[in-house]
Amino acid sequence: MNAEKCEFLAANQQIEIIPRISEKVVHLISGDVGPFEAGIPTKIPVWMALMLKRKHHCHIVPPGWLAIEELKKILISESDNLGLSHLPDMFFELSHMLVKEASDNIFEVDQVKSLIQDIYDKREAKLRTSAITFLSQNETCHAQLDGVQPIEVASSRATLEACKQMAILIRNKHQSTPI
Amino acid sequence: MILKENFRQGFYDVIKRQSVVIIVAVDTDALCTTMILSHLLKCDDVPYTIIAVDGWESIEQSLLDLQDQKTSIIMINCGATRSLSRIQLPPAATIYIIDSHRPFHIENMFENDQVNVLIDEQELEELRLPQPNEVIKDESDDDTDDDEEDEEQESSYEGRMEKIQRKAIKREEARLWERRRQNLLWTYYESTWNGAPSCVRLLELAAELNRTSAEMMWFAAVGLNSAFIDRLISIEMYTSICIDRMRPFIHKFSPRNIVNQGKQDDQLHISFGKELPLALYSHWDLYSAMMIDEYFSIKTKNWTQRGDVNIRHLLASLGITLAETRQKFEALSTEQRNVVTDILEKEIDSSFATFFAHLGYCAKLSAADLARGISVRMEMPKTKKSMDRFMCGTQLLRSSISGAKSHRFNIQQTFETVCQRTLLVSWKTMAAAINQSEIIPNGPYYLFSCTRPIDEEMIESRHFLYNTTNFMLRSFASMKKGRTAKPLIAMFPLTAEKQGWLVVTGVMPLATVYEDSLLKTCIGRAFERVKKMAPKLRITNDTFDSDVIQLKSEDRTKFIDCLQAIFEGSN
Repeated sequence: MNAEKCEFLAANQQIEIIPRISEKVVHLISGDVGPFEAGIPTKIPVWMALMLKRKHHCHIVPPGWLAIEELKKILISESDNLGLSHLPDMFFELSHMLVKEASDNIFEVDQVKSLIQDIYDKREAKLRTSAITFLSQNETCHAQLDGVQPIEVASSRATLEACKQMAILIRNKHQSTPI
Repeated sequence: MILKENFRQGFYDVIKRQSVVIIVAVDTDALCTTMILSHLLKCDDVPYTIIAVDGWESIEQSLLDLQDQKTSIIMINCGATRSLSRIQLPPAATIYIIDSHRPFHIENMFENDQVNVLIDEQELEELRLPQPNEVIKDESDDDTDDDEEDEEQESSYEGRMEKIQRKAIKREEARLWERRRQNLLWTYYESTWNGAPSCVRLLELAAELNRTSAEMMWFAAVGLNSAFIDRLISIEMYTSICIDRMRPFIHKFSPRNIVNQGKQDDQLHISFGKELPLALYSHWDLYSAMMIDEYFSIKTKNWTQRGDVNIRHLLASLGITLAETRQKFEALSTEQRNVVTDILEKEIDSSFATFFAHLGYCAKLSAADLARGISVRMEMPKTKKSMDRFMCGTQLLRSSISGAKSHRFNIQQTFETVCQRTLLVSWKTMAAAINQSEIIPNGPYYLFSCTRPIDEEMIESRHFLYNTTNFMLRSFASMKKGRTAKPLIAMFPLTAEKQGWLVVTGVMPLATVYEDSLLKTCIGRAFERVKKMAPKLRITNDTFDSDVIQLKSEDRTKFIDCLQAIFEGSN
């Protein structure tokens, strides 16, 4: 599991678009999508929205939390909170995809990008300190962390796996070293 | 058949339904048109193939390969000037021609049902097409005569006399009609010129489909600029196209007018502004750019011995220090740059304005310079396959708007190595020609025979040939009065594989340039007539521009004599 797979899974979320063409119902295995009428907003999966956007067939309406005011609020709550604050679903994955493909539908996309980057950095710092505290535990070996995003889980997994392997190696060395 | 309005339904909706083969000539305008068209087709999920061609033989070859395919064939910047009925066309395919070469061949317009030529309505009047019934013989008249004859075989003596009289009158009419037709065709085919570049037409089609974006507008801007710097269209036509047809797009994609977007640094913005007509000056130093530029070169006559002194005088009178000109232009401070540009603008007093691409924090890139780079990359070396050269051009065009640092560097490299070298060689050829008096008057025209072989890659490039010959004629005319009435024919020897062949091209006399804004030239027709007059001469006129041909060096003298006879005959 890495960042790309997280994005792939996030692409199944629903997002609102304003189609520029009219089309009949599309029958997919996972369900029906449409019909589209030009100018009438509808909800479709993100992967389909991006495909239509590339062909100039729709406008994507960014979700409510992808605006400067909301992001500033999230940033403030992140700074105030000691643990990780609660974020909207698939926050980082969706924002990355939308900024890359639909940047002309987002207002002031440069500031949005820098705010999201700030939020990510703050949370990464907290994750790092908590991982260090967790690994330096001697007797007990558990931790609880709320509100971790899937993408952060994926990146921390590699580190924690590596540390676990190193712990096993060190224990083996201690156990098998002749006295 | 002519397709003059409703391009969306008549053309695009039709080709959308099946797969498309795009046969495209290797020049910058065609490249930009193809980029726009392929983007539209990609958005609609239409499968397409691109075949890059260099000349008529390649077209015939590719059409032979496509004999049993049922596709739409779109020919871009090729195929309009010669009759396609002579070539074996795939029977199940329809052919669409989007070409900026004029005049169109009559058979393509009226007689061939498989071929559709896309023309703008306004341009139709300029073309001065003869009426179809004046140039196409109606076959049905003759048949009815024969039928009548069979039926009434046993009529009376007077009846037969009448019939004979009628037939005589008809024959006389047919002869007159034929003569009128010859005259009409003679005047129609007399000159060749280039119309508005095809990329603008396709940009307007994209606008009808509501699929324009800043990238597409940039492609069209580069194609339009390439037509101007290759000396295919005059500055009046260039300015009128910029103002009339590109204006709605300028408003849409310029940096100031983005609605509801706030500040955006990552998007591509296109701006339109005044610019010095000096080639590549912002990627070079001013001294070199001014040296190879036509206006300054002719003003200071910098190929003569006094040239250097003249340049210094000119710079001193303008108030620009020599140090400023020798430095790389980017190294000057912004203030200095603005001051120098203002001075030069006032001095040159041209009305040249071009498009600039602003992307993020990269320096702005002018469409004219990029067009030069792409033309030069695509036209040399001719030993590379046409498809490879076409792909090189595509890469260069795409990298101009990608924003990646390596791509920008690549563009800079192209400018420095190939473009600047081409311009310098062009200037040196011109200087050598004049200093060594190699331009000789030969009756009704001036002849320039180049003795030294020039760089083999450049010599076959149309961009180089047109630039050099135009430059040569203008500087030659500036040396003495009264040299503006005769055309210039230039011959350059080819080297390496094509040893023993010459490239021949020509420029119309300077006096005719101001007659209209279309830059019409009769040189191509003259070459064709020479070929008809003396079929033993080994002439290859395979390219789409009829005024660039290849001639075997042994046939040189006979060619010169024939050309003299033709020019004198037409005078």
